[in-house]
This record gives sequence, C-alpha cells and structure tokens, in this order.
Amino acid sequence: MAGWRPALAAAAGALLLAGCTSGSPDGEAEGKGKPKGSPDASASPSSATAVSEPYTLAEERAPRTRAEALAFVRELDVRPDYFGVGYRKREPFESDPSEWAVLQDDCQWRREPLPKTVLASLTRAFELPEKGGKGPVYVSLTVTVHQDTMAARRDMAGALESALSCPQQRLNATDVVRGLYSRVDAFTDERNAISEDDLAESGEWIVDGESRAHPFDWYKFRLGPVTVAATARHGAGRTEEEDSTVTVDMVEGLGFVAAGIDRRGDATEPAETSTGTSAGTPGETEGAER
Amino acid sequence: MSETLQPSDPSRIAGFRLLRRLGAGGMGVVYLGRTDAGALAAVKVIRGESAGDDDFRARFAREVELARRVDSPWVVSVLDADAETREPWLATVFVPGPSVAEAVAAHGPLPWRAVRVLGGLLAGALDAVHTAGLVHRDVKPGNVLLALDGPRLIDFGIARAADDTALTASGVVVGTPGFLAPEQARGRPATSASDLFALGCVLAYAATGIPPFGTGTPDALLYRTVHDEPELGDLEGESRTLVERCLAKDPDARPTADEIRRLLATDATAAPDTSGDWLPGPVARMVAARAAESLALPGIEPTVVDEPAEQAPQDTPPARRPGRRRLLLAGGALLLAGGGTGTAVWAAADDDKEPSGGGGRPVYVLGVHTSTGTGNAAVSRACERAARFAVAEHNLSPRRSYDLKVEVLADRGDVNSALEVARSFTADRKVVAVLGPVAEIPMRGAAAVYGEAGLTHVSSSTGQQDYFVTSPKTSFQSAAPHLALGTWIAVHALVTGQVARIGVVIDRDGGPTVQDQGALVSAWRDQLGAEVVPRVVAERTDDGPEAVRELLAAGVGAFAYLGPLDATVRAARDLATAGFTGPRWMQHQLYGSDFPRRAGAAGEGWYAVTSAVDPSVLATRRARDFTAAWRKRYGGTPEPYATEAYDSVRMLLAEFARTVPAGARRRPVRADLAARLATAKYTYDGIARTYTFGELHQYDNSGDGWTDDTFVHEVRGGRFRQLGSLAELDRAAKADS
Repeated sequence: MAGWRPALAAAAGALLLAGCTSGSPDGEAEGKGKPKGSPDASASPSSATAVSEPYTLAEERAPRTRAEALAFVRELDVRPDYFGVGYRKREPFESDPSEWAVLQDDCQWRREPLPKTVLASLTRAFELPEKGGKGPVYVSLTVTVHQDTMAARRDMAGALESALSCPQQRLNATDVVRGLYSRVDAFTDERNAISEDDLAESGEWIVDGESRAHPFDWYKFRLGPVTVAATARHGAGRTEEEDSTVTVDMVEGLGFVAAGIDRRGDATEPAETSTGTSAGTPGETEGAER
Repeated sequence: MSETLQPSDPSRIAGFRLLRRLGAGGMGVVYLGRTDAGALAAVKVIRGESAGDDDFRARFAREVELARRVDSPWVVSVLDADAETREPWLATVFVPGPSVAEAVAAHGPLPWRAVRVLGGLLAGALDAVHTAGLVHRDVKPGNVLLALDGPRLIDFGIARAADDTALTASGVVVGTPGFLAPEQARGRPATSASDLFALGCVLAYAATGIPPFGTGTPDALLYRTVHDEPELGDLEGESRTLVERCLAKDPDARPTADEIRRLLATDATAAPDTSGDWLPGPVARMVAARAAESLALPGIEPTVVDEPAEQAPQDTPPARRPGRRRLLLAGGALLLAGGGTGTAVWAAADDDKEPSGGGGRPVYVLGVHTSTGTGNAAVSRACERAARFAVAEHNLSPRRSYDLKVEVLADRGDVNSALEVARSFTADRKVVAVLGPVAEIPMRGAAAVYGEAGLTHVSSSTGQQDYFVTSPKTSFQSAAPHLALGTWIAVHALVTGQVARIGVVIDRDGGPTVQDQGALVSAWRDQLGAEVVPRVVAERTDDGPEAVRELLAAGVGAFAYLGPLDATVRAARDLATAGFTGPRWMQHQLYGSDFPRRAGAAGEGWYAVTSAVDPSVLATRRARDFTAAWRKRYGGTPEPYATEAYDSVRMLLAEFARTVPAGARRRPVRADLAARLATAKYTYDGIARTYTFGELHQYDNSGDGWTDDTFVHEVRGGRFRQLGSLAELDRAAKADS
C-alpha cells in the first residue's frame, strides 16, 4: 500500500494532460462554430468565444421514418477529400444501413440489426494510401439517424460509457484499440464543441501479431437526433506532428459532413416532402424495406 | 460581523435605515441601521411569540423607560424604542467593539492597570443601571464592548428574558452560566448584587484570561458557581481582594457598584480620553481597527442624496455618543501614532465613503467576479465575504500606503454576462486584481478578457484547466481540478479500506465537471486494481434511477453518483430504499450544498472528497485564528469555499503589494502581478494548504502535498462533517492496523 500516492498522482497528471490535449485539437478550435451571421456577432469582438451556434438539426426537420432516414443518409454528400488530400473511397465503400456496430459486454464490436430507436445508420470507408514510407490511414464515417433527439443523447452517453467500460476494445477480427480516453463536450459547455455535443476519443490501435501500435481517433458529433462519427486508424511511419495533422484533417472532414447535415435543417422544405408522402408509420416503412 | 439584509427584512424602522443584519436569535433580529443624521445604531426587533405577549410588551415598555433614564457614558445609549408596534423594537448606539471576550481571546489577559480602569468604569455603568432601577442580569465579557475612551455595557435587561437563557438539567436560568451569581444559579431572582458578582467574573476573566468557574456544560458551571471557590490564577494583592469580594457567595457580602467605582477611581476613570492609552497597544489597535472596519462594512456607504449638508467632520459629536465619527478621529490619532504616513489623515477624510484614500493614499479596487447562475449562490457569497474580510484587514494596517476597496459584480452564469463583468472590471483602471469568476462557463468567457487586458484574476472554485489556451498570462486557478478530485475518491476508499466493486454513475446533467470527475473510473480500475461498473446517464432523460437500479442489480458494493444535486438526492433515497449500506460518494461540488437536508436520513454516511476545507475543525493556530476572526466578523464559522477564496485574495493582495512602486505616485503595472504569481518558485501558504501554480497556471497537485490538502466530509447528523484530510485518514488507518 506504500506506493499508492505516487501512482495515483501520476495518473491524475496523465489524465490532466490527456484532458488538455485530446479534447480539442487546435485546428478544430479554429474551424469552430457556425458563422450564422448572428446579430450579436459584433458585440464581442475581443472575445475568445465567438458568438455562434452549433451545427444542429431540428427534430421537426429530421427524417421521421426509416425510408426518410435511409434517403437522408444516402443523399448526404461525403467526399474523400473532406478528410485531406489524397484520400479515396475504400471497398467495400458502404455498410448495410439496417445494421450498426454495437459494443458487446465482452468489449468486442459486432454489427447488429438496428434497434427501434435507430432509423438508419450508414458507414462509409475511406483510405489515405501508403505513400513515401507513411503507412495508410483508414477513416470510416458513420451517419446515424435516431428516432428522436433523446435517443441520440442516449447514444452519446453510451459512446462515452463504452470507453469507460472497455478501455480496450476489439474492432474486428484483426484490430484492437486500447488506452482509450474520451470526453464529450456539449456546445453549451463552451469548450469548443462545434455541434450540439462533441465526443472526442483517442487511443491506439494494434493489429494482431504486430508489435507496434499506432494512433487511433474517434470523433462523434450530435446534431439534434442525428449523430455523425468518424474514426481514423493511423498507419506507421509518421511523426507525432504528422499524426496530429491527420487527426485534425479528419475532424475537419467530419465538420464538413456536420455542416451538410446542418444545411438540411436550413432547407426551406421540411425533410419529409423530399421523400414523398407515401411513407407511413415507421412500422410500415420497416416492412417495405425488407 | 454582519450579513446583508434578507428580502423579508424591512428597509427602514422608524427613523432608522437598516443596512445589515448584525445577528438573529430566538427572540428577533438585530440590525445595523443609521439615523438620518448619519449615526450608526443597533436596532433590535422583537419577533415571534414574545411580540404578541401582552406581559412581555408591558415589561419591555417599562424597561425601555427605565433604560432611557440610565445616565452613564459607559452604558450604550437608547436612541429610540417602540413597545406598542406589532414588532416592538429598540435602537441603541452602535459600538463596533471588540468585546472583552474577543480582545482577551485575541491578545490574552489585560494588564491589571487596564483591568482597574475597566472595573472602575463598568462599576460606574452598573451604578447608573442600578440607580435607574434596573438589574442588568447578564454582565459578561461578551456584553462589554471596548472603545478607545472606555468600555460600553450593552444588552441590559431589555428584551432578553426569554432569549438568553440556559437550559439545564434542573430547568431554565436567565443569564450566562459561568458569569451569573450563585443565587441566579439557584433560580432566585437577580438583584443588583448579582450584577456585582458577574462584574467580578468579568474582571477575573479580563485579568487572567480564564473564566473563574472554568468552562464546560451549563450544569457543571452552575454547580461550581454555587459550591466551588473561583479560580483566580496569579491575581494577587489588591486585585485578588477586590475580585474575591465581588465573588462572595453571599449577595449581602458583596460591595456595591458605587463602592467599587470609588475604590478604583483614578485619573483615567475620572477623565478618560480617546487616546486608548488605558488599553494595551495591540488591543487599542484592535479597537481602532474595528471602528475603521465598521466604516467599511458593506452597504454602509450611503447614497449621496441621503446626506445633504452633512456637518463638517470636526463638529462636536453628540455628547456621550461614541459615534462613528468620534471613534474615527480616535482611530486616526492612533494610526498616526503607530507610524501612519498621512498628515491629518482621518480628520480630513470623507468618512462616509468606504476606504477614504485620505492622507494622499490611493485607493485600489479588488474586483470580485461572482455569479447568480444556478448553483453558484453559496460560493459567490463565500467569495464576496472572504474578499471583504481580507480587504478590511488590509485597510487596518497602519503602515499601508494605499487603501483597498471591494467591488462585486455578478454574471448570470452565461458567457455573455461574464464578458460584461470582465469588461467592466478591466475598463476600470483602479481595479488591480479580481477574485473569480466562480464558475466554469463564466470563466470560459471572462478569462480571455482579463488576459487581453493584463488584469490578474484567481478563480478559487473552478477546476477545468484549459483556460490557459485563451488566457496564457493572467488567469490563475487555486482550486484542485475536478479530474484529480474524482481520482481522490479512490484514494479515500483505499486508505479507509472501503475498496469494493463500485458502481459509478456519471450523470451528464451535472455538466462537464461531473464528467471530469469520472476519472474515478480509471483510477479505481487501473490504480486500485478493483472492479468498476460505469454508467453514463444522458442529459435531460431522467435515466438516473434506472442506472442506479442496474448497478444495484449488478451487485456493486460501493457507489459514486456524480451528478447534480436533485439527482444525487434521489439516488441517495433509492439506495436507502434498497437497503444499500456500502460506501457512497457524491461529486465534490455538492459539498456545502443542501444535500444533507434534502436527502434526510437517506443522505447519512455519504462522502464528499474535496479540496474545500472546514477550518473550524482544524487544530492549527492559523485555522483557529482565522475561524475566530471570521466568526467575529460574520457571526459563524467560515462557510464552504470561503477559506480558499480568502487565501486567494490574500495571495493576490500580497503580490500586488510588491508591484506598487515605492513612494512614487506612479500606478502599479497590472501585468506585474501575474508575472509574480507565474514564477516557478512561487508558493503561498494559506490557512490549510500551500498554493503553487503549474505551468498552465492551475492549482498544482503534482507533488505529495495534496493528501494533506484534500478533505473528506461525511454527511452525519444532517450536515457535512469533516473527517480529516486524506493524509490524516491514512495515518489513522495505519495507526489502527
């Protein structure tokens, strides 16, 4: 028991560092906020806290049926170069939108059919190919439409909880992520969140059988009832600074997607008219999808 | 010393504008008021049952009449009274004190020379009381206030009967055990001789520093008063004989007041002046300090329109009213004698303003940035009181080269109003440092404004630590980070042998600070190597109770609910209903909250691990002195977060003093203060902790010292009780094993 003090003190220090560096990469802070031409903008010229609003999507403008949600996630423009120069689509490019990944009690991610609270979830895969001795970067981007905002809030809480429950997680048959640290900042917390609720998680990933781990990032934004998440698995051969650039670029790409979702809310017509009026209750839609 | 008026308080009673509350008891409330002419008054308003009791009113009216006839400069004068109104009231001249009790507690026994003067003048006071047909019935060190020209006997006879009683095994006695006479202790009526017995006790206490019948329970004191001989320490000769005569068990054997007065008559008692010469130096300074402090009492500064054509300060004060002005002049004389720098300092000063800036002293302002946002009231109040306290202390120093003034501005808990407050402070060139902001979101906005303006501020209650990003130079934090405090719950469990499988709820309604404290999860798992089941509750979902149920079903043996007050209270009830008896922790910011009252029996045993100290239970001399001084000023022990706020202000003021150019009339440079705090070697020894700042200007907890600076409070008997620091608990556990 003699050693408890230094050990915990060191842990606290490490956590502080993590809190300071992983929460909001500088690039994110610069790209922060949605310049909506707020009338208050001129009121605080010297403020560090720009007067802005978060990226969001009002519930009444969000998809309400599975069909609408599916159309919504598919129509969303996600270009490879959102995440940086040189990215391209990776095959298979899109996942099955009637499934999503769920962290199990044994800390393994598995794909499962969507629960009732989720209307659609689509994951797109991108990669930055290996070049000049710098290993490939794999980015996957997932847009999920929840039944309502409360369901999306619960999903964000679950995301935070997952890292607390499982600091080490198996992503798939070959990859493990570990040493995860996450935190989530609501826009109202004034901590450089750009959507209503921003989750940032960092750690490292390692491929079974390999000796070296590499950086792993997970960012997830909530815009009303929609969540949009991106992960990046960095390859070998980058300096710390270069890895940091990869992360910042990836988060910027996530920001572009979030901006696209936010614009949907600005559209003059409610979302439902774009998919016609034939879509009935969620139950009927579900049946139609099969 | 006083509190601001409450919304239910009247703003005026007859000719008195009420400024502050001086105290409250079962019988009513005592206010600090001022007359239209500007004199300060203590206004006692009778409330409750007594007010409606005809017998009481009749007695009250009669005693007021008698009291008006008391003719002694050493008895506090009745200014006005009304026994007929719905809430009878009585106004007397306000004397800032200190009392004999306070003076002896602070500076030890008085020399016999001073006790002689005190005894002679008090005997004169009692003689006048008795001549008017009254018996005081409660002469004690706390009812004798000191002024530079002599003592003042207060609180005589009126409106006390039901108030100042002691409940003993055998019934109720009026008066204060330890100072009341044997016949009173036996339940017989008090006579003038009883007052003489009490006078003997007061003189013995003043001369020896100990009450002649000791301390202890009322029953023990009364028994000793009746049966034992007084303990008079090293009193000898004349003094011993005199006191012993007063303390005779037989009332008839005691001298009369007039006899004592004549016996002790000296030049000093015949013609006392306002020099304070009769008191030892430190006590005289304390008296002058109180007088000056009463001027700085918040809320006393009148609106200018209230005081048209105030007579010149040199005007003769009303006879026998040791009003503010007279005390002030006396205090000025003393300050000059003590080496003050000014010329005719106080006499020329406009004494109705806060610090005068007289004598060519500049006045600098300490800003206090508080918040009216939800959950910030208590910490805001603690910060304001701590700042006023520390600044009053500064303004008492005879060698000061500038005066300080407190200015409080509150934000509304949001960024925009916090920006306004910060801009207001930074725009005022007189503001030299700021305590606050008190909460994270205001800090998030304001820090940058302070930083841009180069105005140094210390926040004693925020624990997120990324403010250096926007304000790398002048923003400092003197509170432990939430992250660390979360992990220190694990330390508490470890040193007290309470490590078990723990359920941790992070309730996002508690905001990001609660999430920070979720660092407990990894500490518990990685450092303790124990099992932890975390649950994150989404905001605005009301999912907390379900999380508690799940964790109970998972069979956890320990519990931490990190969330807002309401949800934590509910968790406490749910756990109690489920019969859960394992260790339970709340998030540290609920220390000092309403949790104990709200949770009732279900809250008993809950812990809060925090860096906020309750100094009233610490044994160190500094903590005791601070607690005593705070109690003196505010009438209670320092509330949660007051000690850290006080430390922070003292730290700011001490370093600010070093940035003030000597002698010259140049302004100090704002940025110099921050530069001093930011030096690597900087440390400040506070009441209960040593402060150093890390490279992010955060409270540095990287060393080992934090186990001494982190306190465990347990809810017990409906309130928070400090069990000790982590280091103390650790030592205690090791001693036990």
